[in-house]
Formats: sequence, C-alpha cells, structure tokens
Amino acid sequence: MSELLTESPVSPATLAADKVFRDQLVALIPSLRSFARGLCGWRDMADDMVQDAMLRGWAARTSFTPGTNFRAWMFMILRNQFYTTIRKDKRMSSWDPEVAERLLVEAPAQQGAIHVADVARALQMLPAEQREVLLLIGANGASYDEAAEIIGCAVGTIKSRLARGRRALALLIDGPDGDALFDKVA
Amino acid sequence: MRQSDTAFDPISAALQQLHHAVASEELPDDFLKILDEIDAKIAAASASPPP
Repeated sequence: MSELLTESPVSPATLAADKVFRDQLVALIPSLRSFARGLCGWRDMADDMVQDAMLRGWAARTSFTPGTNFRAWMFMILRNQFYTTIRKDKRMSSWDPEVAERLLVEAPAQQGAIHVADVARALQMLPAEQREVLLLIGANGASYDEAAEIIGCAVGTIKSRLARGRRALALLIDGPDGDALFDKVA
Repeated sequence: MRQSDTAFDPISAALQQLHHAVASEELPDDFLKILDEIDAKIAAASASPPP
C-alpha cells in the first residue's frame, strides 16, 4: 500500500489543502474504527480496513471537494473496502468480548436493561445492509441524508432498513419478547 | 412530540456505547506509522520548490 503515498511536487495551495486533509483524516480515525469494527465485528480486520481506507483516501485526496462532507466521503471509501474485504475473507466474529462484556446499558428508573455485548453479538447476525444503517445512524450519529449519501440509496430506503434492523435487533436480543423492546425504540 | 421521542432507547444507547468504547481506544501504532508517512510526504513537499 505504500505506493499510495508516492508524491510529486505540489503547489503551496495544494500543500495547504493536504495539511487540512490530513487533519480531517486524523480527527475521523476514531469514527472510522468504530464503524469498521461494527461492520466486520473483528478488531484486527476492522483496523486493517481503516488503514487501507486512509491510504486510499489520501491517494485520492485531489478528487475530494473541500467544503463537502469529508466524513461521508471517507465512510464511503471504508464501506467499499468492507464489501471488498468480505468478498475475499469470510472471517466474521463478535465484537471484542473484553470490551463489550464490561459494558451495561441501563434505562433510567430501572425500566429495563440490555447488555451491550448482546447488542454487539446481535448486530453481527443482521444483514450487512441493516447493520451499516444502524451503525451510521445509531452509533455514529449520521443523519438520514448523510447515511443515504454514504450508502448510495434513497432516504426512504435508509428509514426502511433502520426500522427493520431495529426490530430484528430487538428480536435477537429478547427473543419473542423483543417486540416489547422494539416498542420502546420505534 | 410523541412520547416515544423522549423515551429511553436502550438499543441506541447500546450502539452509542459501542461506538464510544472503540473511539476512545488508544490509537494502535500502525495508524501512527501511516500518519508519520503522510507527515513526511507533506514535509518533503514543503521543502521542495513548487512546480
């Protein structure tokens, strides 16, 4: 991948743009890692995908239009990297259990509680098209419009996949009682 | 606003916790090496005359 970092002489304006690009890339790394981890469920594979995406993004930086949505642009590259990777490598497992098992989400006033580890495991059982929408909107805080831009589909499709993903997640976590959990989040 | 808009959403909360758990991890060395390479390219371009 190091060939992607090959450079030729640049103008001062390009150099300034490169520095801005680099700073944006650095700021985005935590979100890229989170999205990749949620997509593939495996830490090392996720980090490899993010590193590939960073190098590809850097190599293609002149095609990015400053002032447009850098996060969406990089997430698109990472998402493409994910689908390319899973076509070649079928290793899929749950989230890092050491992290997930430590976490517990509890509702205010003890309305109920679910283990984050259960959500992480259930996520990996969902179709990728639902998982990525849940991760973009539920975990990364993307808007419907931004998620649609990243995935390359209509906003209505995003809303539909989000609703189906939430329902499937609730059913996977709580079994037949999952509808009750879904009612809280619909 | 509907009641469900303000109700606690355990799935969203769990997804956000998963995100924060990863996002708050220390950056592995492999990432730092890539950033070092990028910084080196920028420094080299700064030192060379513009085209």
